[in-house]
Amino acid sequence: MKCTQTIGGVLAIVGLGYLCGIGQAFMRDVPVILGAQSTSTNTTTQPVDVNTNIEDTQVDVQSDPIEPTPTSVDSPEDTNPLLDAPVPEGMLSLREALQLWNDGAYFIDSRLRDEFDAGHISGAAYLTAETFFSEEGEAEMMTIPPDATVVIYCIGGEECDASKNTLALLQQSGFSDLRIMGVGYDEWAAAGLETEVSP
Amino acid sequence: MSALRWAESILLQFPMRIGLGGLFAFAALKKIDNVQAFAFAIKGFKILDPDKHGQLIISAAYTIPWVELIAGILLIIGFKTRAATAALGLMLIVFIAGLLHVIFDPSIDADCSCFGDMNLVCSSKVGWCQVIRDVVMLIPVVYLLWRGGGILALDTVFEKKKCSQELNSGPKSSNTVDDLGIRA
Repeated sequence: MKCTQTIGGVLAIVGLGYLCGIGQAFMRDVPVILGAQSTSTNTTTQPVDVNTNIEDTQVDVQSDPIEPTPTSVDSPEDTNPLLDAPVPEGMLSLREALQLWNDGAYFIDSRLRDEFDAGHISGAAYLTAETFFSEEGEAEMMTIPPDATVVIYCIGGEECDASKNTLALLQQSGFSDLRIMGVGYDEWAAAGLETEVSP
Repeated sequence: MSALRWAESILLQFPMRIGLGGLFAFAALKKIDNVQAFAFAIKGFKILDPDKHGQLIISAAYTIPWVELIAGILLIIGFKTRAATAALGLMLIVFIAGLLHVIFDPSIDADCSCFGDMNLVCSSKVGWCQVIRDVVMLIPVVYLLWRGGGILALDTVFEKKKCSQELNSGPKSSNTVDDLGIRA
């Protein structure tokens, strides 16, 4: 008897939870998504011409609050084999990412908070699915023009879902030129490129 | 006997109910606050294919936190204690199974998102720490399922009322007044 009551109670709790969830879904302004929209595949597959200045793509670098310190592309970096390490299809190689960084693109770090604090690409902002709807996330997004080139990175590789999740959310928020760096922060730092730690 | 039951209620059942219920209610609020991140977390466990079962993942992201919250609150007030505890216990078993799935598949690099963006005891990366934490949480679940919410639970108040009514109309229940601690 007690067992039957307990099972009935469990089912009632689950049912009530489901109804509350449906209610929350109806009240929510933005639908929950699981990935980037397939109609905008150019957001991740757009090739980068390393010889093209990003100003040609009408990105307002003057209002860039990140202000990265340019790194010379004529330095030994040109011959650094890490820059051309293979990356998953549709993602930026380290060389392409570096070119965009030199041209003033916005960089977004989607790793864990403590990883970001320990070291990140100079000028990168911290934005993940966890912080996206917080005041911090909204403040970060306010600093990025919707048509600006945004490069998102995490630990790199095909398995890194954090970049893809952040890309999907930014795409949903109206950002149009979104790229994913195919390698992670560790590769960037190993290549001797500019990094910084959180104050 | 009654003194022992009071002691058990105050020292074991009440703290367990508040601790477990409060923890789940807190975790639920963090998830309800950011359903999107929780949906990504469920997807990250790679138990369900997002292309085929996307709606199921989204439904789970909406439902699980509310079940946690309702069960957590019921456990705190001690109403339907066994049902609430059983619900949380089942969820813990499902969580443990999910964690083990990630741990034994090295190609999966998932964040727990157990408490939203907060880390409780363990880091956010899925590992054995989370499994141990959930197994430890199963201890009060089993105890509360066995012993109930205790004298300080609302269940006991309703049981006492029910028992008193039954005594007035004749003994039908196996519960005695003494069992419920009325003559403490």
